[in-house]
Amino acid sequence: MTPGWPTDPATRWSRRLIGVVAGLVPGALRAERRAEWEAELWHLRATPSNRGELVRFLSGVVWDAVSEWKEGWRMESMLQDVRYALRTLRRSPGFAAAAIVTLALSIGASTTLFSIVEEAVLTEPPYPEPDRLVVVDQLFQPAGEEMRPSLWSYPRYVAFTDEATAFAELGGYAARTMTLTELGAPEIVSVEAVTPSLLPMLGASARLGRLFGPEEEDAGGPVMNAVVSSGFWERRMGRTPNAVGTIVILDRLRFQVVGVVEEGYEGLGGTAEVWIPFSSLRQVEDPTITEDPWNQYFHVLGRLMPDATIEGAAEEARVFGGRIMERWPPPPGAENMKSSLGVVRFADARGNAGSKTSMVALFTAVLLVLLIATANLAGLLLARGAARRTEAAVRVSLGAGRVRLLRQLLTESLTLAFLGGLLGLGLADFGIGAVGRWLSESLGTAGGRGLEFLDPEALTIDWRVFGFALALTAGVGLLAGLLPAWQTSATDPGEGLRGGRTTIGSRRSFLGLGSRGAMIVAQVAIAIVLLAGASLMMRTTLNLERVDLGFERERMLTAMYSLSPADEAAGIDPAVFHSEVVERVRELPGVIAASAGEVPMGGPTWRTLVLGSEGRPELTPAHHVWTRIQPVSDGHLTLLGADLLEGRDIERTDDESSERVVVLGRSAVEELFPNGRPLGQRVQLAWPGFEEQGATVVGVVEDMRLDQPGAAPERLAFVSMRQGAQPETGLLIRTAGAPEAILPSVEAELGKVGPELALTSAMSMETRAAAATIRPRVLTLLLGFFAAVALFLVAVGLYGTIAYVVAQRRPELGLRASLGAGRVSLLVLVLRQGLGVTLVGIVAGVGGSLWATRFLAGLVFGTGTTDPAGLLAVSAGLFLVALIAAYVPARSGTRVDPAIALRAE
Amino acid sequence: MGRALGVATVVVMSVIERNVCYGLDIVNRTGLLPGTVYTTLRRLERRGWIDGRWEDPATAEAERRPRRRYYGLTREGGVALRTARSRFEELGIELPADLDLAVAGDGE
Repeated sequence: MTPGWPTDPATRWSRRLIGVVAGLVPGALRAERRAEWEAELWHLRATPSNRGELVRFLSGVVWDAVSEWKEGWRMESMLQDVRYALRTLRRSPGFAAAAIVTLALSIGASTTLFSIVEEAVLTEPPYPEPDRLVVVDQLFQPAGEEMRPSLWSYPRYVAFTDEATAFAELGGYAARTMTLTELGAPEIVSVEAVTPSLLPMLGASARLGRLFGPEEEDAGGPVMNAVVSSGFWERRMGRTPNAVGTIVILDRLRFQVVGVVEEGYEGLGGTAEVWIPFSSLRQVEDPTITEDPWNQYFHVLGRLMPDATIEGAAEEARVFGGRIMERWPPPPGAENMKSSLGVVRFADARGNAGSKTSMVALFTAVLLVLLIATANLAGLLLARGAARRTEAAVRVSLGAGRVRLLRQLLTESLTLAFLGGLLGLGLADFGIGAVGRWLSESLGTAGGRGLEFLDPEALTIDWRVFGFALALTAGVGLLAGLLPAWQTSATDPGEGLRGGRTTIGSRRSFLGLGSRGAMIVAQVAIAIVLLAGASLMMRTTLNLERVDLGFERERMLTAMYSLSPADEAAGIDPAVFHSEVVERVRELPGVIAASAGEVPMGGPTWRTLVLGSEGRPELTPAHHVWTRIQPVSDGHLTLLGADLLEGRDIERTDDESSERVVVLGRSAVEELFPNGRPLGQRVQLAWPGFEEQGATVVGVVEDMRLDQPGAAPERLAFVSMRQGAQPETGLLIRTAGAPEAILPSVEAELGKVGPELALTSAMSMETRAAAATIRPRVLTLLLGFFAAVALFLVAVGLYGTIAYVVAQRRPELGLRASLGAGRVSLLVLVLRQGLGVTLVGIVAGVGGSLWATRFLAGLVFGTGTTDPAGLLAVSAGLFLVALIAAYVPARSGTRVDPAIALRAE
Repeated sequence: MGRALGVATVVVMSVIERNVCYGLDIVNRTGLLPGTVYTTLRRLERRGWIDGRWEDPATAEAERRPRRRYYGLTREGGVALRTARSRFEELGIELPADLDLAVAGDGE
């Protein structure tokens, strides 16, 4: 294999040169290139050529080798940097672990919240052309009150569909729950009553049979057809191919299934399993429901014409809405209302403003924590950078370029960030499911339009979430690495090698702490803002828990059931039925008392007009008063533990044959009887069974908070169920033991009384009240968690800074000590530095929180958004933490032996 | 495809298109400097437009010389070369048409 090489000096010399420059080529290619060049050289020497050609060839080889070296550097040194970074991190595992865990926590939390915000706020609704989808709200403004959203009636909807030109399609929907009775135990199912236009408008299609069509348009009589979801078809019908034509019994009425909806469509509320046409409501609820222009029961969605703007549509709707009162004269008492229609983008109609504010508040909080974590990492790197000045100096003096060094340090912070981000993504994967379900429960319920706010199933780490986490990681790595990297790489090799440090008399900005001081100020300020927000929400939660609801919620079971119109048609009288259920439940062992009435915090509510009062003779139907009213069984107020101020509770004897009676709440009395003495006086109620005769006031109770504990108490009225019952009622049962334990026997009694009925929403009153305040409690918990993490990070950051500063000033402190400075004065000297920046940070943070907490308005209760006492407490607490974090390293650092300290100089 | 190709690159590719060549072969046929030719070859090989192959060891053994590395155009390289040529045509740039003539005086 040995080629016959010429032996002249030029060739020998050329071969040696080739061997040397081959060293520039990256390892993998080195042998190959060298062999190629040698073959070329051999060719050149074997053919007649001149010296010029040889020189040109050799310089070509050098050029080739250099560019191969450059190429290899580009490919390889990045990996090399990462390897080097990992090696350095392994050498200081404590630092690495602290940095990575901090980053993982904050990147994980940010990513989790981002995925939720993305789904709830940023993601388009899952319907075709979501940007042209709008909600058309019916608005009414009773005299002297604010304009508020209401519901549509069918005749008005039909008129609007005929006249509106800006809408390509319109459709109505009303959410219901109905009792399914057939094939096993009675079950409550989610039902949406819809116009035939609605399902196609939202992109639903049939996998079996058909969706609603002209046949289901209201034609003056009930059409008892139904469309079911794929889930229902699978769960209740065993995926039978013969589903079309099957009969399902809902609320004891026969519905014929005409189609099964394609998988994935679950209605506007996200839970619907059955759809029925509006025209069937004639039988389900009220024979005139599609004819009475003031029977209002549904919401309307629309799709804008391709050329229509939302402003144009809103203007058209407003004009139509303004004429409602004259076109359809309202029932007595409502004549003075103003009417209008409003158009809202569908995406904005999901959830409510409060839910979105909470989301944004949480997201901001988590980003602030991330910012602190970044600053902290930068601080840590800065301290390490200072400690590694000697190393940097060695590398610079060995010829490492400043850019090269900078890159190495940035790679280190990026490697840290990447490891933290990886771990954080894992945390997010774990947290998204848990936090998502929690938030959708706590934030999604208050939407008001029955639209789904957040689908926990849809929460995943998709490419957008992944991209966010990646960008976050890269941003944190760059931000945290840039400043310290620049400072470290700005190294004068001479100074670094001499071991020179900033010692006596060096002047740096920010109370002598330089950029680390600025970072501490920022961290403290951010922590103060977070703590202020958390303290506001904590105060809100406490206030809500301390609110006197006006009734006793302990050891009480609550549940609801509803008779259907079919039951009433079959001759069942709700008043008699409810009374019998209550009587039977009272006999059960373990039951102290039982009554029928409205279930507080979540039950159906009724309001009625008080058209006249003997306490206010001027009160005519034109100056009515709205009152929340509930038909109750005897002893209901006693069972609730309401504070009876005057008179008596509703009694057994208040039945159909006796005089109509009412018990009023204190606010209602103040409104209706400004001069007091209401007992025995009469009021005129627009409540079924009371229209003909007035009701005599027999009692007055203290106001109760029957909805959100934070809402202002309403005017209340209680009437006897035996004088005006509704098919729907709540059961309230005071128990001796655990409320839930009694549930099976209650269900058994209900079964004995009459038709098959299912209890809905059975839970203890405590659970119910807790659910009613879940939003502020979740916010408190999460904000508190983030604030605690922030506080911890600040403490760590401050501790690190002071420890670093003390180490740096050791020679100076030693000098001072040798000149006679006492330990206390040294301690004060060091502490003054740390606490100085903390104070600056606190002032900045208080300023910031005065501005930032305004965004919590609407979420707080019983406190303003500016809470001086809270801010003071938060500031004092943070100062205390800072004092401890600074004191520990300061104490050990100032315990210097002057001789040793000075020798180090 | 990245940036448009320069004249030197197209010339090198044209030579390789006609004959499978080794480095100095191309230098002789084009009159380009060896440095230019080598770096161009490296770049083209990384792009996958040319394909470098070691000569059969037996041939080299028989001639008692080191093995040469020959370069040929790949299918992608052919496509890129035609695209570049038509672009030069549009721009009115004439490529040296007598590349092979340069070999004539070479005595090979």
